[in-house]
Amino acid sequence: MGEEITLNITRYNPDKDGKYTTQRYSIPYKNDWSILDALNYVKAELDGSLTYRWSCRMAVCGSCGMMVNGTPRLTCSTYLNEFYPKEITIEPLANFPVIRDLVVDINDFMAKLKSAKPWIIRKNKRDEDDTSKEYLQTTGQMDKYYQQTLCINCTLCYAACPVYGLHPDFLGPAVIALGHRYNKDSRDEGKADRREVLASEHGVWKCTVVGDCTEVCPKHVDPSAAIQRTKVDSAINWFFSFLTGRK
Amino acid sequence: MAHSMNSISGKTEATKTYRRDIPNTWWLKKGSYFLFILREISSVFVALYAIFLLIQLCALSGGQERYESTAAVFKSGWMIILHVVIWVFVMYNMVTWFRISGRIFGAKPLSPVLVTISNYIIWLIVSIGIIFLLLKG
Amino acid sequence: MDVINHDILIVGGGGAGLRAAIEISKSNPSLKTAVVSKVYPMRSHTVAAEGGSAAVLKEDDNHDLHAYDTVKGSDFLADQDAVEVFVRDATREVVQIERWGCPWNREEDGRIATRWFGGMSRKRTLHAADKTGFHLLHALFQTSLKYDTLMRYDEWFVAALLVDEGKLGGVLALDTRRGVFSILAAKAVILCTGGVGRMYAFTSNAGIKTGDGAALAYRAGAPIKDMEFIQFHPSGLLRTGILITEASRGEGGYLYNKDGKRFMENYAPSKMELAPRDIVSRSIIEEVLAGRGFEGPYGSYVQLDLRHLGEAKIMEKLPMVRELCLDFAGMDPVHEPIPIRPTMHYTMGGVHTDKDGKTPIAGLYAAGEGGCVSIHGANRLGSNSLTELLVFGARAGRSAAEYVPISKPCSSERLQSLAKREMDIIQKRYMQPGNGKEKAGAILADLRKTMDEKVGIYRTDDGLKDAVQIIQRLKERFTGIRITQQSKVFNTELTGAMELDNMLEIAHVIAMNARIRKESRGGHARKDFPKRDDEQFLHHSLVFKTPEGPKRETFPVTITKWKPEERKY
Repeated sequence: MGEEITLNITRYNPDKDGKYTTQRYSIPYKNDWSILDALNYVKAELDGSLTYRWSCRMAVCGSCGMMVNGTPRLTCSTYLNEFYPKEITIEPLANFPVIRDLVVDINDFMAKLKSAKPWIIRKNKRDEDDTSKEYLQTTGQMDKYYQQTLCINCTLCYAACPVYGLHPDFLGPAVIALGHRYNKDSRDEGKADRREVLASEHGVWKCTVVGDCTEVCPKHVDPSAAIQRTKVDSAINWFFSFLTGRK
Repeated sequence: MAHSMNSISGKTEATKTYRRDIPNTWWLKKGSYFLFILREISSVFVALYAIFLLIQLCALSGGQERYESTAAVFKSGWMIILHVVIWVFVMYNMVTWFRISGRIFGAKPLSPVLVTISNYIIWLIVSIGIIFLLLKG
Repeated sequence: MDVINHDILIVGGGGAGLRAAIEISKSNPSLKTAVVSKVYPMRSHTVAAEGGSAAVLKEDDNHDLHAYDTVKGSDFLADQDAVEVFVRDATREVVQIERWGCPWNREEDGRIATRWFGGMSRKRTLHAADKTGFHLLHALFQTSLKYDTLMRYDEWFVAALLVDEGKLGGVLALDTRRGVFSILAAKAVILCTGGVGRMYAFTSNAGIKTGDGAALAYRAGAPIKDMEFIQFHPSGLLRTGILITEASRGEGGYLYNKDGKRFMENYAPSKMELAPRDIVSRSIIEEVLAGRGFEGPYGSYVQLDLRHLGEAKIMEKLPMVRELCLDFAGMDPVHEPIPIRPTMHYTMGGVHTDKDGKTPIAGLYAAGEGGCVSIHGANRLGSNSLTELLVFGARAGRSAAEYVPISKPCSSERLQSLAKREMDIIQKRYMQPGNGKEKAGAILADLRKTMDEKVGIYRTDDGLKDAVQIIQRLKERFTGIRITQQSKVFNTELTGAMELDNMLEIAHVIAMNARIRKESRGGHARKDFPKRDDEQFLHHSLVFKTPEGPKRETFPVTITKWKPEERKY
């Protein structure tokens, strides 16, 4: 039928001219195509040098996060028909350095993730590898942390967070949400171990409750709620430690 | 800032990555950012109102004459307009705070809506109580 | 070329790779261990697995039952000694991952819950909602961060294994961020790279499933086993092939044809919708061929109905199924039946290993979907794969760690000359200015179409003969491949071409094996040889790469307790 749609895609190649530009592509419009389908079409048919990340195309691996008309989205589950016939602007995720075209450097996030100690910590180390029987945990106990387990590490929340953009030392929504996930897991005993990082000035206290992280999260993790609850926990803990003189 | 010890990719000399600057007008680019800044600014107005309250209290303790001259200032046209503006911002501050506290404290078995509505109910009760006292006195 | 030394390298950062890494770091922290993955580990395809992980946990279950279910499910091609070890280790492994934080669903009393699954005679499939793979992978990845001595090469692509006369010396790997090739020397390498789904057009598999490990091992002289056994999962979402978990049937979903009939009654009257995957997939195809399927703009399909389960149960047990239907099929399974058809899903075959992940090349190991022990034989039972990652990831990690102290490293000069040979090939093929005319995308599209049509659920001699010829022509076309840009930084055209090379290599073996195996067994169904032939074909197909082409040998099946019998459900 000849219907077409225009994509304005960021190009950046430090190996070529190092210029950060936008390139326009006109592609056939298909009603059931996602943005990722469109990018794959461009790469296969029009411009093999277009570079981007993708894998599962079912919104569970977290690879394909990009800015679509200024909002961080997973391109595999964002469809052309949401925008057609208007033009679509596709840019690399905000607040991260750009490696090439639509690929950003997320190593800062990876480092911060480790610093929050997102694993089960027990006072008795032997518990961690004891396979004789499982820890008991009721569904009610699991409800307390389950929502934050759903994070796919897509880092859309970092792209949405103006604090992270302005203060790159901020721990960030996903990392705090994952720290909170372990703090609230009844099997974990490591709250004190995570406190230094989570309650630091780069941790929860840098958050000014903008709330966009929760808005853009494709898995409804609600990192903002997790951060504010961690603030409450942290404040209560500080108050009691102040009273008792204990850490 | 914490550094990962695990990732080799995090340590090798990267090629030139491109860093995008954030303009000072970043908060004008998105509706949610603008409303956020507005909310932050509202705290200035809340503080201003607290200061006005303190001034009036001080005036009250400073005798009849002092109180009446202060009251005259507060009854002037521009003060009333200012107070209306303050009231709008304080209301905005309250509404956003109630919504957020619902999100924070509304985990199971409670719900965000329940917590937010409870806040409004308490506000209503306290407000009615204060209005009653003022009208009575 | 730069050489970086290690004790153990693990290629692939999915469930098996991370489990192996943790096992080594935990028990031998002094070993210099690194995970080399072409994607960040959280992106590995384990993350997409949904249904669950089977293990004997409950009092009404026992290991012999799990083993028998698995052996029968495999159409008696599985090595029974390996299966017995598998089911025994499984019990321990699923509790271990719970200790590491996996949020398994629970019973009322707080113990781990289990669900029904295809081909299982007991309710033994542990699950974390219907995102089991996601939760397993993130529990493993987050736990791996605990070990400061465990290194990672994120987004490094392994281009070749460096093997010196039957002994592994290391790998040649590309740092995709900088576009620089390096030699990663190692005493042991564990291949955990997954299966070959992307060579099929309609598949549940992610873009990264390109059979890299099988191709690497194959080119290095290790044999690959049982490649012809490809699993087609019955419930792939129409249009995309995205997986709708077997758990949807495990929780009580029904399959309907055009006439509103639960047609599985005609094919597996006892197990119905919970018959093993190969049987259900074939049944769907039969219904469609008989004209009882639905037709639509995206082809033929049948219906998976969950409506009778109710919204509460769907939201509790199958929330991801609902998300997927809403996001990718524009429908809500609470109110409408789901349109599904069989989708390429799992590779039973892989790098030939023993029970400890060892291959015939000293220092080379494999585990996970990319390996073939074999515990799945001709067909894998659902929820045995996630367990396989944990069991054999751990076993391969252990055996690699035991091998390191007795291994002898390869000399630096030898590594350099091996690496140079590989680089020469890479340079000649991909890095000549003004090279070739062939588009990688076009070759890939032709490969995917050919595999779908001729090496699919039902195979014939003519179809397979054509497939082999077409694939050989595609391989010739591939020699003239054109990479449009020589940029070093993050060149996905280059890595894409190397992945295509891997797929063509393995596809050839699959088609060839399928033609030679003149019987139907498990996931390999021949229209011209519809019966299982234990007399002639009760063996594994082992294929070696030779200068004359793929060379097939047979390898005996180990039978301990269960003699092959008719496979009926």
